[in-house]
Amino acid sequence: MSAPQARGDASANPYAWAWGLERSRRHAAGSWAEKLAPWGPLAAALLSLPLWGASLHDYLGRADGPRNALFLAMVSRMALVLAGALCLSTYSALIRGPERGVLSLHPLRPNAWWSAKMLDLFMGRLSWLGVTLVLMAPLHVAPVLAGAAAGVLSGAWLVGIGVGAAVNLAAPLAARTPALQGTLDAIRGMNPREHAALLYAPGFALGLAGLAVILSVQGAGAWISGREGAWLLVVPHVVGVAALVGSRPLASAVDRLPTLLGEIEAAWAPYADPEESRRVYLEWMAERAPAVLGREMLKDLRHGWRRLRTGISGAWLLGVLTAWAFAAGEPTIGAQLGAVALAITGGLAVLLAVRDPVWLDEAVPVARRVRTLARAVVVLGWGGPVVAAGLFDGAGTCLIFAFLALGLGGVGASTGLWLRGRAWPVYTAVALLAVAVVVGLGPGVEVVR
Amino acid sequence: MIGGAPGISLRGVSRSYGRTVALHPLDLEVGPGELVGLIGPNGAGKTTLLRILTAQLLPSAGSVRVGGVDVVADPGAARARIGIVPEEPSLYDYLSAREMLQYVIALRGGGDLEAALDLAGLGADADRLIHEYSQGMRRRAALAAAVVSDPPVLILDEALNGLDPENAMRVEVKLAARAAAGTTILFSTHLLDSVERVATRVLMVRGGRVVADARPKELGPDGVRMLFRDRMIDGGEAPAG
Repeated sequence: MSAPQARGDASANPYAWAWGLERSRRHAAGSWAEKLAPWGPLAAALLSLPLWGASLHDYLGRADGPRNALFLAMVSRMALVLAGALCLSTYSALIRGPERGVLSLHPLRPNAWWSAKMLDLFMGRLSWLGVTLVLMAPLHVAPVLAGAAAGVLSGAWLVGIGVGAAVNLAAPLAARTPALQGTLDAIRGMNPREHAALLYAPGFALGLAGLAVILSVQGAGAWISGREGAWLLVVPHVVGVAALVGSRPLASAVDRLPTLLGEIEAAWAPYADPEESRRVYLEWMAERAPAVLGREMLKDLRHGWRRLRTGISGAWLLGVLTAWAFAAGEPTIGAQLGAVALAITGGLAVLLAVRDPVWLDEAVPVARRVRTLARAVVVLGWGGPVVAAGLFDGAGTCLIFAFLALGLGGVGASTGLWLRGRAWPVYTAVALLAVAVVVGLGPGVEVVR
Repeated sequence: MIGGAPGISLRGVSRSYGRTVALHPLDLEVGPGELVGLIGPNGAGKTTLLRILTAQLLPSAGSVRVGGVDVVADPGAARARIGIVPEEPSLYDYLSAREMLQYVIALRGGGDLEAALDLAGLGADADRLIHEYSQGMRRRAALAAAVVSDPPVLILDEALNGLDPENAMRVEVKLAARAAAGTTILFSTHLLDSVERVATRVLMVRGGRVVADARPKELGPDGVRMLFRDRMIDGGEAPAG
């Protein structure tokens, strides 16, 4: 079957042309779930509005002092999360994008690459700004607050992308700058020197973007209370645009990325093999299970631990924070953190299902109930520390979400259908909705103070 | 010769991964018009050598010039002079082969699309999306992308593996013609027959060292196979250094 006729011409900007074709054809070839997936977070944000809008309106009706304090606390957190997520995602897009393999074979046209990449980044992340603005929609009853929120959030979005682009593109140059070698050696830990600059770049970008966002929130505070200093509101916009402009000449560094990343991978290569022969976390569970179940568990334990370890340990970190929040008398925060942690843990089952090789099913068929049970036990094992943390207090809420998360994981694991492929937006949506449910419906839970 | 410099020039190039030496110090000159077959067992250092030549990896020591350009100092300029087929073909799956070649031509500032499709034997399938291709067709599409702009140096990592006999034969003939026209070609392979048929020179690598550097024509019929058995199977010792 012939490919659909391509629009445009490769010569003007080959990157934009090729990526545009890839994107549109992938989209057209995707299942309905994949086509809907990018809209999931936006839909979840819209659905959550009635749940938490009422609580927000309660606060909006209060005196200016507490109302403004609540507003600034809420907007600053949302803006920081947005800017942070953009700094990290900018790193993934610029440094380790999926087109890396093709780029490494040909000479680079830096300006064309930069233009195409920035267009890609802005269009691809527009919905992120949309989600935060939708979540702020209940503020429409207070236009000044709504305007301030839009200002802070749009600034966070712009500075997240702009500073993220500038810092992440500067990182390959920093990795090779002789004057910085001593500093990189001091902070690299066990990582190869070349890796240090790339590793710290998103954090450095987040620090700069965070500073700009904090100044912006101060400006917003000044504006809504009629004080001087409202101009600070636009600091992230200015910094974001300046960083973006400054990132353009840095695009030539992408020419050195294949060597740099090749070196990093080579430096890690000697450590790769011993891992394969080591026992993995919770392997004893499989040894104590009946043979048929144990075999499936062992596969998930090994595959999951080696491929999804970040998700597992990330969930534990949230579990620790959950326990800390309950111990500190913050049940709402504890419940929210626990819910997110368990949603992540449940999501691991889905990711395992997505990565199940089809040929293995055909070659060695395994009863679906055995696989689902094995996967549920494994995920329950990984989520154990989180559930234990939740048992300090608010056990009911946490356990409900444990089962919800495992249930979602189970659906994905047994059908492998609706979360196949690029599943993360759907799961993000579900997690967002879950948090919104906790915030809005948690019995006796005081949302914000 | 390209600008007075050999197609590929390595001086004292070595590479280690931690304490493991993947490539012992190596001096090598490959001139224009040479079609060099690089053979050796898995883990011999072939891919490390090719990755150094294509600026995917730095040498631990020594200097590397390809097409007269220092690969370490200016990897971008070096890549402009090299057509590369990596071990795993890197292509845009939702482009057709024709579109992929248009992309490469736009990046490299020119090329002969039809000649590349002809070399790869993809004429009839040029407008199908690459994700519909078989492994052999993907490899041929990667080969077409490597040759489309007629770079002075071609570096092919197992590019002939997995091709059906008809297409393998066509590619060999076309590559030999390119070499005869002055292109420097270095290709790694496990196929001794291919080396015997088309290579003007053969390098055998074992344990990170070049253990044989010979010209198949001078070795006579079945010479490559016998040299391989002598140096690689019958316990031939690697030279010191």
